[in-house]
Amino acid sequence: RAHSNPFSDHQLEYPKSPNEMNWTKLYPGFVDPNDPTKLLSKVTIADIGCGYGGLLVDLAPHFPHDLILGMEIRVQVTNYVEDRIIALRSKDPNGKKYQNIGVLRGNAMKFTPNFFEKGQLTKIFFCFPDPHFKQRKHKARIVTKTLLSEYAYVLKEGGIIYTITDVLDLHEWMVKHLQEHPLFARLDAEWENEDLCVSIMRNATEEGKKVERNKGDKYIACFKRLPNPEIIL
Amino acid sequence: MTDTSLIHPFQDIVCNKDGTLLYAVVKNMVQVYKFNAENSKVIKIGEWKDEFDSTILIKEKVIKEQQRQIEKNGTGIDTNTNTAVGTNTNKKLKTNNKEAKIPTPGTGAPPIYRYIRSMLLSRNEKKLIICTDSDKAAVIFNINYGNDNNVLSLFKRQPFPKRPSAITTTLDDRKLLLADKFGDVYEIDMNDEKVQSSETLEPVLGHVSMLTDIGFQKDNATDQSFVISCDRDEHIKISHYPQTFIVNKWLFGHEQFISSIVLPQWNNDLLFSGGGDDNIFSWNWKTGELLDKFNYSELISPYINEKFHLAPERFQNNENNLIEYAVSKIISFPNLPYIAFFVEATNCFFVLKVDCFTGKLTFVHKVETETNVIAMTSSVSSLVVSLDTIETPKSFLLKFYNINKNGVIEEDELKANEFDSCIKDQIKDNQVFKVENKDKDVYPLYHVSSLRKHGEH
Repeated sequence: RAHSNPFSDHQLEYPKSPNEMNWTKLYPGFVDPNDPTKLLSKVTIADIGCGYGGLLVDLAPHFPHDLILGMEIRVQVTNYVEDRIIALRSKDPNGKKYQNIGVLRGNAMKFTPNFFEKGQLTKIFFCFPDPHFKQRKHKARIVTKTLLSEYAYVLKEGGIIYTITDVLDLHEWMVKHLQEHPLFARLDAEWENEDLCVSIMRNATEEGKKVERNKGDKYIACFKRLPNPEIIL
Repeated sequence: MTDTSLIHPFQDIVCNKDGTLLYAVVKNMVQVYKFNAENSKVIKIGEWKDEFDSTILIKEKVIKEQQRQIEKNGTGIDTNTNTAVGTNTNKKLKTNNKEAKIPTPGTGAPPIYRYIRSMLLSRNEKKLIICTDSDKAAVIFNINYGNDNNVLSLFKRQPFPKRPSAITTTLDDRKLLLADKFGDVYEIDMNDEKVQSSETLEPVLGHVSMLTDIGFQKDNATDQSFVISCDRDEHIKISHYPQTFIVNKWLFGHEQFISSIVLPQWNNDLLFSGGGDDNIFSWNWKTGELLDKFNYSELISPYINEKFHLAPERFQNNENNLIEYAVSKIISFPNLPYIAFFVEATNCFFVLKVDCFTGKLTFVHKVETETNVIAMTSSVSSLVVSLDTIETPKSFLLKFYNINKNGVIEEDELKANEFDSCIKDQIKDNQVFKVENKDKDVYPLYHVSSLRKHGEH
């Protein structure tokens, strides 16, 4: 199934708070030898709506010290990515590769703050999100004015939001809302051309490859998390 | 039939601080009662009825959509008529030229309600704000204390895109903050008469979940202000104000939906919350610390009844004894370190003492009422409850209790009698109180439990 309603009461599992999240099952290679309930590091990169996991897999070798998490709301797709990661890990005779990527089923629009602490993330990816064309459904889009404040909360100062889509209308929507948000500033084309993640994102994901085959356009926009302004009394 | 003599209870009540005025809502009407302490007399000094016809809004929408379609197809026709026969487009054009049909609900369709859903007295007691069903509006009234014929004068009526679920004001009463069922929070000016088109309103913050309550508080140490919003997904979110785009923190701990939060006036670090959980939560919202949880499940168990509290059939267990209940509302007293709360569809309420230093909650009182509690409000030294009188038309609609600084609570029978005779006096001629059909004419008095999530794939 291609879509999932982000507003409905899915039988989702999510921690009561970031403190209560047990990450050890997702990243067995990073478990603290002194405390098997804890990891040696925290998730710092999130791919929201990770789909079939192409971006996770391609990012993994470039960020060996970062934990990368894919979040996906569709059950079957999440299961597929899980199997994919297990298969990739088992192929490495040293048991080192692909230990830094994980996937979980979740509704990022509702529960991002249950998983991540304030300023925990350095990068958030939104790759080929559901365009929700109808005006009535715009609130279901992954980028909205009000949700951006929640992404800004979990994103560290200087952290980056990456967006890519083949739908011009959605691209313009995301750019508009991110530009209008006081906690984000767009990064220029020069920056985009030099950034490793942009080139991975452009070519990695299954959606991206499909667009490539169909010779479609891909629109990219990246934004930096600005420091909080001085608090007005 | 006996049904004709049924009386609709007050679905919401609000007291002013000194307890002399009571604002009460029945269906689509708000009334104001004044209690004169000197002669113990009660008089009605205000009334307003929502007469807004929501079909006007539907009509506007239908006409707008028709014009949009005509414009869209009209330009299409110009290029097509000369070339192709285009019977399809012609057909479309024909229907579009007819006068717009306003849909009317057929038999079996759910009835259209015109209720008042929530009510708030501004902090300076100069304005009353209510939320209407008919046009999803916040209606602001000026309260003219000199005019005992009708203290309420309509100031403005601001419609919103989605149904409002909770309202609060900034501490200076200059702005109204309104939370809706779609998860968004809007801000409007309380002193500007100008009404904005609901389509151009932009939310100041939002959740991806139905909002159930909203509060506003200031940190006295830093002078920073905050909006506190809570939702059906166990979230209490604290955002800076006026920079609502900066989230300050979440308060994590609820395992079920939240229905009510309260920020007491006597300690501005504290916040109490309740909902589908067995506990009332006590927080220091500034540090994010959970100070205490008060479990009320044993207290409430004698008041649980099968009619309301058995879980819905499709979520029921094998023994068919799964009970579900929820806190309907928590209130605080303006000057006393006590809070009171009641559980939906029960005939009792509880009073807890709050330790101002630690936030610890201790049980002090249980008060039984004749019938189920519908709404609750407080003044400096009193507590008022509105009761469900649907099955017992002769019983009291309102009950009054006095509370002293030691938390001793006593029923004020004199006040209740005076109110009752004043209310029943004018009910005889007031159609709004009449309930002809129990299934159709009654405001959904028990709507909190339905917020419980049961999960679906």
